Amino acid sequence: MKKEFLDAFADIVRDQVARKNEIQIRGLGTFKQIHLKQRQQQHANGQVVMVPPRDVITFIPDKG
Amino acid sequence: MKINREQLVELLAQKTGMSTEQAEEQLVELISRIHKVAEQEEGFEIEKFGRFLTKEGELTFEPSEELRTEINNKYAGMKPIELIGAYEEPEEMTGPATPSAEKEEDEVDDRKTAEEYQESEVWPEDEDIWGWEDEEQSPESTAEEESDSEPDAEIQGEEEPAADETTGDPGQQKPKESGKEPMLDEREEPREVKKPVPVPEEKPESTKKVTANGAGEQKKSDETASFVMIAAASVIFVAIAVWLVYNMAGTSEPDSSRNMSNDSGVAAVTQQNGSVEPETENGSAGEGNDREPDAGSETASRQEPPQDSPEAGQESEHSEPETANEVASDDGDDSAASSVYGLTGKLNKKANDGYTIVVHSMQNQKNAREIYHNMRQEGYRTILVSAIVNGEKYWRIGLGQFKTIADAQETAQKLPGSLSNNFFIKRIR
Repeated sequence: MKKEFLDAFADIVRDQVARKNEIQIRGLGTFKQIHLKQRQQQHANGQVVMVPPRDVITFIPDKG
Repeated sequence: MKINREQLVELLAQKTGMSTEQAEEQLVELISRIHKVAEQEEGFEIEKFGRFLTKEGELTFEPSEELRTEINNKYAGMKPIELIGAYEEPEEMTGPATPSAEKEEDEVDDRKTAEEYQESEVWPEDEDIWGWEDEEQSPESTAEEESDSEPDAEIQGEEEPAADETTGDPGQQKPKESGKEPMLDEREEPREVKKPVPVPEEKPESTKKVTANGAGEQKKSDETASFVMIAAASVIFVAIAVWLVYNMAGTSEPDSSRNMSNDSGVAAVTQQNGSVEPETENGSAGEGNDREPDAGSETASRQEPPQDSPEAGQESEHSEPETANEVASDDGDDSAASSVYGLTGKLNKKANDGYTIVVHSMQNQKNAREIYHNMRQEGYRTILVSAIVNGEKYWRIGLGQFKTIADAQETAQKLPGSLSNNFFIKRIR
């Protein structure tokens, strides 16, 4: 396995996910970006904070 | 948009220069290796991407810090904000609360306007009575009450002075708040009423004056106060303006000299960058041809920086130490770690693993080049790269080289007006 190929794979997944595309790889799983809205959260000490919105990458493994 | 495995293979082949068969083969191998290695404790890690790990029989992927920040670059640098006195479910609280608050405000507004109307109604009455002698010239704006008063006026005919007095009384009573001013009303307004009597042609004007007075006197005390205020404010304004002009003149001189020094620095940089460009621009053809017209635009743009000095001045103040470092390090090696990344100065190859602020993206290569050179004239580390988005080629102009997205984000916010409105952070590569 060449490092080049590995990097290319990582780059492509990164670019596509950053562009909000979903990458479905049969035999492996699906990468996609999901957006988390800003929300309020209360800490155990009673402090209430507004958590900023966030985009995260998620991976759902392929079944089977 | 969904990318399936076939499309991924295509992209992989494009990127690595392999044939699709080879890429497919490699991908199959990669997948099987991921599955195998993920079983182990360490998992399968791809540098700057993430780690595949099997947990409880299920494959998981844990993105690396780099990938995470890159995906989240839109919101990079945002931190939780503490809310003081917030309720657990504020949306439900604020939902109905705000409209009702607005209604209340509206009602208040209505009341206010109603009061205003009442007040203004007072004056038109007087106005009519002052001016009723000119029977035909009842002001257009006044309403039904007028028409009531007009017949009265006709009946009373020449008893005008009496009418003046009688109406003068309500005039005094109504604006009690303003105290002595009704006295002024009486003194001034009758004079003006007397004028129209001999010369009917002037009446429209005089009635207008009366209306103006009627409205004005009520606020006269306010107005005199506000007049003083306005005068004082204007004096202050002029003072500030003068001070600003002085300041501008003071700062713009060093700015221009600074820009000049930058220019000379950039001029040297342009030559050095000439060798770097082909790499970053995917070796675009016709570079030499483009260069000549750009030389013209360079000289043109050289005049621009001083004009932008209020904003650019701040910019360059922030970045001055950096540029100094840059210029100094241009002569020798880029050894200073602080100057590896930055917004201004010379492009540093070592910093190409970082991020840049893309401020322009366009399909017209010539325009892109022009902007690229203008930006470079202004002292920015400017990067021109082409990118293919949805099969179309775009030329992107990036400013600066930053180690982290957060750095870039922070700097981008400080860019002068038009630049900080629309940008995105992109990895340099």
